[in-house]
Amino acid sequence: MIGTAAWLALLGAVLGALGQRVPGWMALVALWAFAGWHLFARYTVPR
Amino acid sequence: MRGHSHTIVVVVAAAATGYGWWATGVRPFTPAAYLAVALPVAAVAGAGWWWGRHRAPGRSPVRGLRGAAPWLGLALAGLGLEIAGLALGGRSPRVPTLSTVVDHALAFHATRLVVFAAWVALGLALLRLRGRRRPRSAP
Repeated sequence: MIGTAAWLALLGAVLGALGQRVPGWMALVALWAFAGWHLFARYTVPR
Repeated sequence: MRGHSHTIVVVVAAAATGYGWWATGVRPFTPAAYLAVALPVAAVAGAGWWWGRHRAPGRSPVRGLRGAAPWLGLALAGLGLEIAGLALGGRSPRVPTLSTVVDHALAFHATRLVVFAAWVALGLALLRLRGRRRPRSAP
């Protein structure tokens, strides 16, 4: 559920940047947040 | 006064290191892991939003897709490297994918802390980018 919401938020940020209705800075923060979310909350190192 | 600010820097650095150690020690897919990531994201996004509302008029150096293009280009380059690595052998140690490199980087708590610190530093760099402004160009 949280993963779906994060994907939708990222998609919304990218679409907003494409339409230039939001500053590009927000798209960068969305990418940065996605990287942190993926690496530190959703990533399991294989044993 | 100088010693006082030095103490503040030391206390903030110690607190940030402690937070990073905790954040990189929680198990993935748990509420604590989501919270550990959400707090820095909320801090950077909130500070950037506040900065955008209260700073003096002027254009941000990053505006629209054109301003973000170098960063998006880097992200696409990383994605391309990952696809190329997968196409050339997946988990082969001779042709490591980004995921294989990340596996090694996140294998130990101390190295996870270093990666987390780099991620936070990137967020702070984004915040500095938000604060910087360039004068309006003449018509």
